[in-house]
Amino acid sequence: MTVQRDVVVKKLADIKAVGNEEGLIPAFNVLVNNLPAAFWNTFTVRMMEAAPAERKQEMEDALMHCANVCGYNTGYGIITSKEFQDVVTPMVTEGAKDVLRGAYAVFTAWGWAKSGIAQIKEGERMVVRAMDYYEADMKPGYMMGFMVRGVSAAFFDLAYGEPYPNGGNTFRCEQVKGMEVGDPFGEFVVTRTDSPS
Amino acid sequence: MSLQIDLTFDDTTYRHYTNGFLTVMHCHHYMTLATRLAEQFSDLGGERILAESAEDALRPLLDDYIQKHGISDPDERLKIGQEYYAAIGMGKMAASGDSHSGSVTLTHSHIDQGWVMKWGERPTPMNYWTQGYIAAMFGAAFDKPPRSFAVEERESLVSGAPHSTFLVTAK
Amino acid sequence: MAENSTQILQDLINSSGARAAVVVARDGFVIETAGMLGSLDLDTLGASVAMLLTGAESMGNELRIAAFHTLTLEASNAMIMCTPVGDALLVVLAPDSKTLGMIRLQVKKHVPQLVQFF
Repeated sequence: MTVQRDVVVKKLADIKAVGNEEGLIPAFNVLVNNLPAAFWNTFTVRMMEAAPAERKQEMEDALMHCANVCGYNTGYGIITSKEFQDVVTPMVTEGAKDVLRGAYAVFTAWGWAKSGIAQIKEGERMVVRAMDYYEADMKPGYMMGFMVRGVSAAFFDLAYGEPYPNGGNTFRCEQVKGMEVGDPFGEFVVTRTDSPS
Repeated sequence: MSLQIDLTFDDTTYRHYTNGFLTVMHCHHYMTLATRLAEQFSDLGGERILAESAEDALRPLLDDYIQKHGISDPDERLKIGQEYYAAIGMGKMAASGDSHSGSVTLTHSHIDQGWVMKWGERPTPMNYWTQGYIAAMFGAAFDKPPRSFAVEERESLVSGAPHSTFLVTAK
Repeated sequence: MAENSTQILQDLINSSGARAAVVVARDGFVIETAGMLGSLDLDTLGASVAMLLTGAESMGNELRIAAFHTLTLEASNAMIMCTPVGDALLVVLAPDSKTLGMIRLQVKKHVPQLVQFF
C-alpha cells in the first residue's frame, strides 16, 4: 500500500476558494488568493524580459525564491491540514516518501501542476515530472517553471530537511526539461544545496 | 446585482477555472514576496511591471463578466469589480468615481495584511498589485483602454492606517 | 547508454513488437509513455496499475513470497506485462501474446537501462 494518487485527486479536486465577508481566504495557516494564472505568467515573463543579461540569473533566483518560501510555508500548512490528515495520511505506509507523493497529489488536485515523482533517493535527490503546469502556457523561449522549482525544493525540505520552520534552504531545484520550450513534459531535479551542481 | 462565481475543474489537465478563466491559488507568502521582488528590482521598473501585469491580466475577467451579463451602468460595473476583488481573496474595497477621477478604500487586504503577518508594518505603501487592479476596474467601468487611469496609494493598512486609500485620475 | 528514458522505451517497443510502453509510479502517476496509446485514459491506467501493484504486493505478503518481478495479463485481444523498474513499474502493452517471448527478452534487456531514470 502506498498513497493512491487517483483517490487523493478525486477527493480534493473540488476545493472552492472564494473570499469570505472580508474578501479574504484564510486556509492552511496562510491567506490564499485565487488569481488568473495569466497574472503570474505575465509578471514572470515581463520581469525576466526587463532584466539585462547580466541580471537574468539574479531574477531567476528571486522568482524561484518566492515559490520556495510559499511552498515551504503553505506546504507545511497543507501536510498538517485536516484535508491531508483525512485523505492522505491513512495511505502513508512509506514515511516521508509517501508524504511527498501525497503532497504532489495535492499539488495536482489544486491546479498548480499535474506532477509527480519520477525518481527519489531519500534525503538526497528527487526527480519530478510535470505533464501540465500553468507556467508552461507562456512560450518565452526559455524554461520558466520557477514556481514548480521553488515548491519542489520546499516539499523535499519539508520531507527531509530540518523540522519546520528551521529548514528551508537545504535543497535546490533545477529545471532540465520544459513544455514551454517544446519538451513533452517538464522535468525538475532536486538536490542538496551542498552537493556539486 | 450580485457577482456570480462559477468555479470549474478540468479533470484531464487538473486545472481550475473561475468564470471560465484559468485561476490558481497562491498564498500571501508568494504574493508579498512577489511584491518585495518588484521593489528589489525597482531600477528595472518592478513596481510598474507588477501593477501593469495585474491590470492586463485582470481586465479580461472584468470585461468578460460585464459583457456576458450585459452590465452597462458604470456604478454597477464598479460594484462588480469590488465584488470580484473580494471573491478572488484580495480583500474588501469600496470604490466611487467617474471617468475622470475616483477613490478606493480597502478595509481588508490580502497583500497588506499578508505583509504585516510576514514582516510587520512598514512606513510606505506597497500595494502595487491593487493599483493595477483598480486601473483595470476603472477601465472596464468606463470603457477605457489599458493605462487610461493613474492610481496612487495615499495611505495604507500596511502602515497602520485604519484603511488603505487610493486616488484614481484619468491620464 | 541511451540519453533519456523516452529513447529506451521507444527502442523497447521497436525491438519487441509491443504496441506501447508506460512507466507508472507506485502511486499511479504516469511518468512516461511511448508508442501507440490511442485514446487510452492514462490517469485511469495509472490508477489501475497502482491498484494492481497494491493487490500483488498484498498477495505476496499473504503467501510469504518474494517481491514479484513480472506480472503478465493475457486476454483475447491484449497482453499486458508489468515489471518493476526502480521505484516504478514498467507496463508493456501488446495486441496479443504472440510476441510474449520477444517482449520478455527485450524487457529484461531494457530494464537495467531504465532503472537509472526511475
